[in-house]
Amino acid sequence: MLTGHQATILNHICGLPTVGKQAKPKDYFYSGICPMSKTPVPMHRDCPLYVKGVSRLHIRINKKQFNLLSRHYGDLKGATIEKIGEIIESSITEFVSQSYELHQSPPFGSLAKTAIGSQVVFAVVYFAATLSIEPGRKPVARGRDETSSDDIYRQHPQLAQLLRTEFHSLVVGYSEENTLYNYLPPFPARIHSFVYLCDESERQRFSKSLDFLSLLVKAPQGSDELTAACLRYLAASKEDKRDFLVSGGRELSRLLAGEPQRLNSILKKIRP
Amino acid sequence: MSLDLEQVALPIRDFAQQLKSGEREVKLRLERAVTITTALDHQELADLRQKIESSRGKVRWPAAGLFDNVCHSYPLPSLPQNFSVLAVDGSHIEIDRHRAIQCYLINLGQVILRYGEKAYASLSNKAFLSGKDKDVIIDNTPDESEEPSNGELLNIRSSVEECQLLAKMAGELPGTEPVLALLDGTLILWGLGRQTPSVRQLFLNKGLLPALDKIKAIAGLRQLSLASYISSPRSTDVVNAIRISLCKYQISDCSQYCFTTESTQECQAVGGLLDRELFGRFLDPGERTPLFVSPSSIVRNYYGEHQVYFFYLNVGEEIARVEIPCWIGEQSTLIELTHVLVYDQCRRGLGYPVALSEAHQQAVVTMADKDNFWRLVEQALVDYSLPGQESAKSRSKQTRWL
Repeated sequence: MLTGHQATILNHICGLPTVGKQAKPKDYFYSGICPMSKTPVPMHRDCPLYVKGVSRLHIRINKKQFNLLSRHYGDLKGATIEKIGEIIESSITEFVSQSYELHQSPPFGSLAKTAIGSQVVFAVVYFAATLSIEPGRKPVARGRDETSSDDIYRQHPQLAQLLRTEFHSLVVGYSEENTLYNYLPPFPARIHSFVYLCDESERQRFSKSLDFLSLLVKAPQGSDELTAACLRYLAASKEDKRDFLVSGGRELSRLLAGEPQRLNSILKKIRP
Repeated sequence: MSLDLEQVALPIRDFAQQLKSGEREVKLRLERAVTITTALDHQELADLRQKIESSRGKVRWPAAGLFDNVCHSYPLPSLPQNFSVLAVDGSHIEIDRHRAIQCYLINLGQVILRYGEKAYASLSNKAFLSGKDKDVIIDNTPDESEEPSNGELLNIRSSVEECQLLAKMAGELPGTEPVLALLDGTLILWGLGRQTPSVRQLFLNKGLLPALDKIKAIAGLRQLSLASYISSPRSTDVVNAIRISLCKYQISDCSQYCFTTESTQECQAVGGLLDRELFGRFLDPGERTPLFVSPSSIVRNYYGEHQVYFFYLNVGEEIARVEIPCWIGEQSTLIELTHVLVYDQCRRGLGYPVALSEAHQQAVVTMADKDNFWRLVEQALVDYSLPGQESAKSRSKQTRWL
């Protein structure tokens, strides 16, 4: 069992939400949901890393602890935070991901993340669509005799294989070595990298600075709707929701000083 | 230069006009066929069955064996709550003798669809390449020297591979629910009639028949049916049986009695009709005909215990032909399963079995795929510093100089 002192190493980091060896040898990470209690690992009482009152999804552990965890949970890979998609197009400024589940895209304006080596890239979801996997094949109406659209998928199980949900995310910053940068990373994410939705603590940490707003309002893919949706989304994880939105409004006033109509349009959409 | 459509526009209109003028004649023949079949009583049917058997091999047009009156129709059985459908379809890239490497590619699309509780779908494909040393030469008899696996032979090979894959999928399918295993087109390897005994041996005794044996063995363990689906069939096997009934001779023997022009013969009263046109008059959507026995000499001579039966089914959009091995035709539960599941597949697939349609989509090799394939072949030659011996004709086609 870990001692209280060892538990203090539980330290929130924006690392890869997975188990395994990282860039530095002897540096292991584990984060995820306990397969038994379905709670974040440190919250499970039988967990070797259980520490009362500490709720962290991402913990840095040493090899001994990693082995302890591995023995305790068996296949740790199955206990990692669920990834929501995989990158299928990538550039410095944005990436397109395919959702693992049909029709399951992250919300418009939500904060997603992916990894480039030791860096974690943050991006705001600005577009999502469900479409045929083959451009030449268009879906046709099938539900005349069905009572719900779920019935259509049950009656035609191949549909889930022939359709896909994609979502596009606008890169708004990255973190490395526990430091957050509100500007574009030096490299694009790799195709087939996994994409995760940021948890509450990550959202809070990311939104401590509002510098990301300048990327959002200036990006060609961005829109006033997106800026407003992103602020509303981030505000939802704040206790001081109103204060956060007011700060956001102030930052926008500075960024859009020469565009009063645009500023008004966004402010109307984030009014607390 | 591209095709000058103006040159063919008039002949196309002539074709359409001919079809229009022949419409009335087709209608009359159809009425005649309907009258004959509906008038057949039990004794006449038995006599006709006997006459068909006696005339086998003597008539120019093979006639289906009959079990029941042609005009009898069977209603749609009820659909099981849980069932699975397996389907395989194939596509290929033929050997191109102008290319540097003599090889062909077969791409098989495989589909598993489970309906009811735990509905599930699996769509995938398997491609394999065969080269000169191993498979391209399939016969080496003194008279035929080398026969590359191309054209008709590649079609046969592809059909055999499809059936083998279907047998494998059926064997690996977990669960106990009823299963329909579907193939596209006919179960009969028609091209084999023109092949040498060694080719027949290769594709039947070492290919199709062991696969059918395997499926039959699985059907002994769980409720499993095998069917081959033919859309818009052009066969006349059943109409030919009616033609035999019209023949005035005791035994129909075309070469003995009818060596003059056919238009004077009685049997011509229904000649030219397709089976599907006839059954369009008898079948409501969902209904099927009785079973018939395929008159194919290939089946009779070489298929052994896997003789082919068939029936026609009104799937709503068209009259389709469904071929099954005789061991399925001998079990009423499996016939009913085939009947209802093929119809259900067509209903879900907007007129064509959805499993076959998806298997085709998985298998299809487009022109772009072919180009990419040959580019990969050429790249491999370059990587191994081999000379790319492409023919001058092939190069000439790709380089359109002035």
